[in-house]
Amino acid sequence: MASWLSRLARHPTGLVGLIGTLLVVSVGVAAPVLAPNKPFALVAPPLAAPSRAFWMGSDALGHDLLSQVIHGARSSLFMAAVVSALVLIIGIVVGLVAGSGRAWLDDLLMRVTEVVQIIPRFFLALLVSAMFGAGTTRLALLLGFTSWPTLARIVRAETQTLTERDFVTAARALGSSRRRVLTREILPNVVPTAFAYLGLVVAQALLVEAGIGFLGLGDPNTVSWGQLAGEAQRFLRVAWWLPVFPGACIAFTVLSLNLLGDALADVIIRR
Amino acid sequence: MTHAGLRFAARRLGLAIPTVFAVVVLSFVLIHAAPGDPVTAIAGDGGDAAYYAETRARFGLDRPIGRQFLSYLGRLLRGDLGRSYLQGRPVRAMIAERLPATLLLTGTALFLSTVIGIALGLFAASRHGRGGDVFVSSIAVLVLATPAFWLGQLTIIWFALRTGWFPVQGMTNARVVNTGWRAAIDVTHHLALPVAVLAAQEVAAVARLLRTGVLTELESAHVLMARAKGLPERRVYLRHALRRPLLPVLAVIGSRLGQILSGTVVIEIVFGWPGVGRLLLSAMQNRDVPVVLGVFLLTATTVIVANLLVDLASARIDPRIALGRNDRR
Repeated sequence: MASWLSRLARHPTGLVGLIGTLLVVSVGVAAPVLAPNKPFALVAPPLAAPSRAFWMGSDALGHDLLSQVIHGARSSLFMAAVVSALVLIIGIVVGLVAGSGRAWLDDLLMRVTEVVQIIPRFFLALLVSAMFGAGTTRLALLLGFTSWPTLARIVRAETQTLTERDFVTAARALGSSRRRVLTREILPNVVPTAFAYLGLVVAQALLVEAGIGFLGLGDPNTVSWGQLAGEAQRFLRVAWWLPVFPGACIAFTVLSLNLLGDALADVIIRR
Repeated sequence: MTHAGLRFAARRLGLAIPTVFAVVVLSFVLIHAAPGDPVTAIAGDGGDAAYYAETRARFGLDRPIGRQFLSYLGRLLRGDLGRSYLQGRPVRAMIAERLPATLLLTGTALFLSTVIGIALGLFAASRHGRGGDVFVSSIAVLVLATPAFWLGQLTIIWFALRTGWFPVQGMTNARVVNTGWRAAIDVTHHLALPVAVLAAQEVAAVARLLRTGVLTELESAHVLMARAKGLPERRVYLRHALRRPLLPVLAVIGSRLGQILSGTVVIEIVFGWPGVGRLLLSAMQNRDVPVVLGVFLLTATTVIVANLLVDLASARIDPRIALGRNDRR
């Protein structure tokens, strides 16, 4: 772990990705302390341009955009946490079981994986948001339950490779059961690989979430960057700051996660 | 086609059909599990009971859920997507009206992104490690992290509102009625910004993929041989280093079609483009279930069929794919 961190710190873009990701996480966690105002408080004149009093300006109702943007990080953080947890659990379990050697189970799980992978997630998310109403938790669960296939395939391939390694053969020869070999020998070795790809998977999920928010199908009781950019659409002529800041936050977060993910894949897998 | 090729084709087809079925079942289950009564969506609040009952019967909503599904499936197989709750018109006709605009946008973006992506990828590989490569690769990383709607909003602010070079919204100039080549120029002028934004991410993805492929290929024995024979660099790249990396580019276009179509919905909203995406959004806001279902089914089926075709084409070009991972046993 420590050696990965030091290698990550020496990776040219990995460090940038790590710092960017940590920044977004810190802002999200500390949002109530950092934000000068409550996200829905009407504190500014409507459509005020960025100024010393309101750094990112205000929207048509007089909300302070900076406070909204800071609170928006929480929504992305929540989404990222739920998606990560679900993707890790489902991806690792499916990949491990599929790669463990039972041909029929492998076939079945890989078919299910392909079906989940091929269904357009964005349209499914739109359908669910429209049918069941907007909800951050619902959207997070949906994205989590549909984002695992890539990870499952990677874990499966890694499991298949590891199964042929000497230490696994040795464990078998010593009489370990199939389950024990999977959980004690193979699982600890596939977890780093799964983590390496997690950043890229979460980045994609955040882009889908931003798109849903942009279309106005997000939760109206929370603030999200996509939603802020969507509300800005009607004011492009008069208030450039409304789309610019929330959109930049999405791009910054996704970019940081992509850089971190690429670097982790370099450091952990390609070694 | 070889025996392995046929088995591969049968296997892919055997996956595509159940996937389409799974999509139909999933969407139907979701829609019927949703809270709220579609009759209120069609007939509005506060109507009398007889009117609600009549509406329910007219749209077949009074029948058991299994029967509703079977009749929907039967109609789907005949290409009938049902009628809009809101407008009472066939969904197929409503989608068909909007489809040309969407196809124009998606098709142009797909074509341009492929051509430009390949050119940029080849350029970056030929300048490996130098300024040109670093520039193209950095831009690609940035663009891939940028949400399409934001890129759209930025281009509108800069290239339409600030400079006035391009129109802000729509597909044609509403103030002037153009015909012939003037109309074509007008549509192209309106098309430029949305296409550029939609194509940008695909260009980035294709360029990155092709660059990696060409760089790997440049180290292979046949390229070394071509260079040893003294072939000009241009010929080494175009004839020898480019061929094999084109296959993954084909594969990525198929698998990214879903992404392009998602992007199209958002881009149509940003640029007021009169396509299927805008139809979908207004249908969702009004809970017009058959229209939403129709668009979802059309998109999902298109993606599934495109993936099938791409897989078959890839196996045809490189027969090792048919013998590969998917057909080991």
